[in-house]
Amino acid sequence: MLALGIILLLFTIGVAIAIGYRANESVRQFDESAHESFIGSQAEREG
Amino acid sequence: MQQEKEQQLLEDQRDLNKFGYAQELLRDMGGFSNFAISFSIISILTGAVSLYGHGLLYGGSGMMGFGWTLVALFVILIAASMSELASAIPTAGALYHWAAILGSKRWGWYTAWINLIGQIGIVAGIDYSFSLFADPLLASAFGYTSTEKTTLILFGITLLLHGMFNHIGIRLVARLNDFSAWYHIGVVVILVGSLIFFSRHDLQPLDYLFQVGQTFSDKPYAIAFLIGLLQAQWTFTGYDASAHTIEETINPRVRAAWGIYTSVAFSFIFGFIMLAFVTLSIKNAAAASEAENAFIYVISKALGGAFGSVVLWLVTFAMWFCGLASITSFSRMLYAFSRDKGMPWSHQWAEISTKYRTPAKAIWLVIILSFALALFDYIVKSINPNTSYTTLAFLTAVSVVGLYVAYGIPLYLKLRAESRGLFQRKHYGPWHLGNWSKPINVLSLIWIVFISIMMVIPPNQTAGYALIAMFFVLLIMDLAYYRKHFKGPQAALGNSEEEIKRQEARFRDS
Repeated sequence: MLALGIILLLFTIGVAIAIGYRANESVRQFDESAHESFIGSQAEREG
Repeated sequence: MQQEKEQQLLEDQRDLNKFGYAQELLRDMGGFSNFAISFSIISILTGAVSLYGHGLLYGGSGMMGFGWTLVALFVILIAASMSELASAIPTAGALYHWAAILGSKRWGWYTAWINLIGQIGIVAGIDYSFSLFADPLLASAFGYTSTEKTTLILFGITLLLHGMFNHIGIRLVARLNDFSAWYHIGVVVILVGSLIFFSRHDLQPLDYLFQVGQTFSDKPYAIAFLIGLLQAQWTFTGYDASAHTIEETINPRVRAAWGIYTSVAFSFIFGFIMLAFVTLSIKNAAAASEAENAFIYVISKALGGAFGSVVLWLVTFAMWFCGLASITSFSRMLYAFSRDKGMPWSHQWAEISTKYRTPAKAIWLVIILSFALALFDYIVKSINPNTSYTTLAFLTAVSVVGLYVAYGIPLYLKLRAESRGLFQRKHYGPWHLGNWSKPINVLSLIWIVFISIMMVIPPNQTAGYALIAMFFVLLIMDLAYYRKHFKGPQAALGNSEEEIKRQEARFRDS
């Protein structure tokens, strides 16, 4: 079980780092001019 | 530097104004403070320690290796999913606001109330944990006998103190949270260092940490292991605080998103290190699982009674910081929901103190609601003293289910809105997961459904009954009044620019 436990531990750390890396990339590449604030659907706003 | 900050503050204010809200709260928190508030609420020294005995009893030593890591893996996915939404929709209502505009105002209304129930559970659970630890310490210092009644009184006093600090202002609370983050890390380092260098006996071999099949409960191991997950799952709650304090954070679309994510990731790492060394220090797991506080029992056996007492004090202080931060988070959620008129007497709870720039009345409502929940449990146990569950297990189960269901609803609605083409790539904030978003959201949802069921199976069925009863109350409230009268955050979009500026001017002039 030790090997399985270490694999799970390393996998979790790997997932955390990969997500962090991916998010960091998106922050760096963010283009404000292409962004639009989401304020909900038209029907809901009118309802 | 100052000019850059002011520029950023103006941009943040404009972003908030787009959702129809005025900048009423004091925006003064940096990235570390935003991280620190969630890290303090997760508080590895509160959840993992106060429920260490629960984890050990049900899942044995393997709970600390497998249980903690397994829960962390899925919570990291949930945190990443929530970070994306916080970056896209940076308002203090957070989960509630996300659900309302991704789904409908009724989705939002239910999410808010479910979140509110979870938040009551978490504030009551944390401050009750603090009182459970502090009351015997104070009893021995002042020569009185610690009973359930004295614990309840101390719980009330603690809530009052937390209310006062939160009332005074976010600057003070943010400084205390910054200190709290370093304090948590410092205590873990001291604890682990002491166990490595000064333990009275040799540490167990590493495979002890991943040993499965041994439970000290009367349940079959597979079921017992799942029940034991409450220890880790409760620890990993409350990180939505970074989103609830988003209107007080500078550059929140990036910093609050990182705050949510990194608070979970660092809690996983430091929590694992702490649990690993404490568990490897166990000499007799059966005796530890039967002890009143398994964590302190293990520390006392490994390092001596005096060191055990020191650790007890250190952990107790950590819980105090955790409670302080959780009230900050809860009060902001109440404030945001009330400004959209989702609560009875909303205008009261949405009022911001012009002197302190805090939602003072919402803070005191949080104190009353949290005390009421613990008092309800105290009365139930007074009527039926033979009940087998503990107050802490009840409060923690209520908070886990309430919070995670509230985390799950906006994630589901985001997937739904994407599939309908309403929520598109252009709506993502700077912090997003790109193509990874959908699979991560789906896995998060699967875990939330699974864990919500696990948290209310016996012996925690009372929490399940309480949640069902609360849901019926919500249903009645919704059908009787809110269905027709609640306009949701969409109504704020009708606020004119002049109206928003007029609201903001009240705080500039004060």
